[in-house]
Amino acid sequence: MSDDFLVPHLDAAFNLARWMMGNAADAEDVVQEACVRALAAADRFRGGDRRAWVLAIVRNTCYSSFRGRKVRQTTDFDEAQHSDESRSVSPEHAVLTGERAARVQAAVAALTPEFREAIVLREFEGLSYK
Amino acid sequence: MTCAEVTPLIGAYYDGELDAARASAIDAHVASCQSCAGDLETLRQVSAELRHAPYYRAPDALVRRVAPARPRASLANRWGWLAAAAAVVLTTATALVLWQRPGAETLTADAVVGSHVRSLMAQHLVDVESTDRHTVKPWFAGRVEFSPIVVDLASDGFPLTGGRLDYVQDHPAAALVYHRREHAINVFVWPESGERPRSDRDDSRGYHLVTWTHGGMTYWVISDLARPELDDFASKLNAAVAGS
Repeated sequence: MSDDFLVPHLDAAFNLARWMMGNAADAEDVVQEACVRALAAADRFRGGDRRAWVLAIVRNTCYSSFRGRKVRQTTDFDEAQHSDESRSVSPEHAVLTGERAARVQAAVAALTPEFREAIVLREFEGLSYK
Repeated sequence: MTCAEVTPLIGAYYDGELDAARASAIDAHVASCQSCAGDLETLRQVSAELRHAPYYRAPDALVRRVAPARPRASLANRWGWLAAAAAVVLTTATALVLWQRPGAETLTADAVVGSHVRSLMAQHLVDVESTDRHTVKPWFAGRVEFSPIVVDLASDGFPLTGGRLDYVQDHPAAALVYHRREHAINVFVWPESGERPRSDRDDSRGYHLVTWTHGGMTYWVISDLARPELDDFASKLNAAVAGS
């Protein structure tokens, strides 16, 4: 079965997971798990916004994580260390460094997961609160 | 209204999407409830901060684990490009042989998806990089035999990134590249007579397309941007082109 339908949404999936989980390692675990679920559920997709469907699976996987699995308590404040993370720079978004990055991370982490999710989806994907 | 009723609506309230009755009920509640007023203020502040926050792209290692058959952009190399092109050609050829011949528009849509994906994979999104349409438009002179209309949609939240010379089904096409946040939007334009009303399609690989033919040109808009926002872009593009 082709996993092509996932590729265009991997960045969005990882970004959501990264903000929800607070660190890259947990985010990777979540995305991987979410992809397994998405492939298994692929024939249940009845059309509509594929991205929103994938992100819903990612979000549910985050919540499963909160409830059950071991979650690393650390939040990565210093993103510049991780070489892969440097690819995060995009045309519209300046790199947040030091104090400001820490503040945003902490502000988002302090929100309840539901709130966090709503804000991230709204700001990054233009998906309205549903 | 109670706090429990207000909390799930607070996002929609902030976006101005609630009906008048519930919006004013929340106005009243927030005026006297510190907790919900605090939530609203948090929403405002964090939303504003996030607008300038990084968008975390999936690390290559993760992409490889999840989709080993589809190496991605930063592994760009000539063989990757050829493999992608071969896959598009093979898929189309197979479709022709084994099934009913797909309509002309479907063939073009597949070719447009191929060109779009290649422009992202090879990190060759623009030949001329400029947010100014007065720079991008003249760049095409001498490179294509038509003059694409290039419009400015920055004030609508779709800044111009630049232009690129591309090919769709073996004929040259002007590609105008816009962005919405991190999402690249390719607008393929080439001359074509006749009138074809707007039609939307969703590619199974996750791309959304809008196309129409008007005023001697065919337009194909493609992006992985969510459908509502892409529709908004297409409408604004259409209106701006018609108005110029």
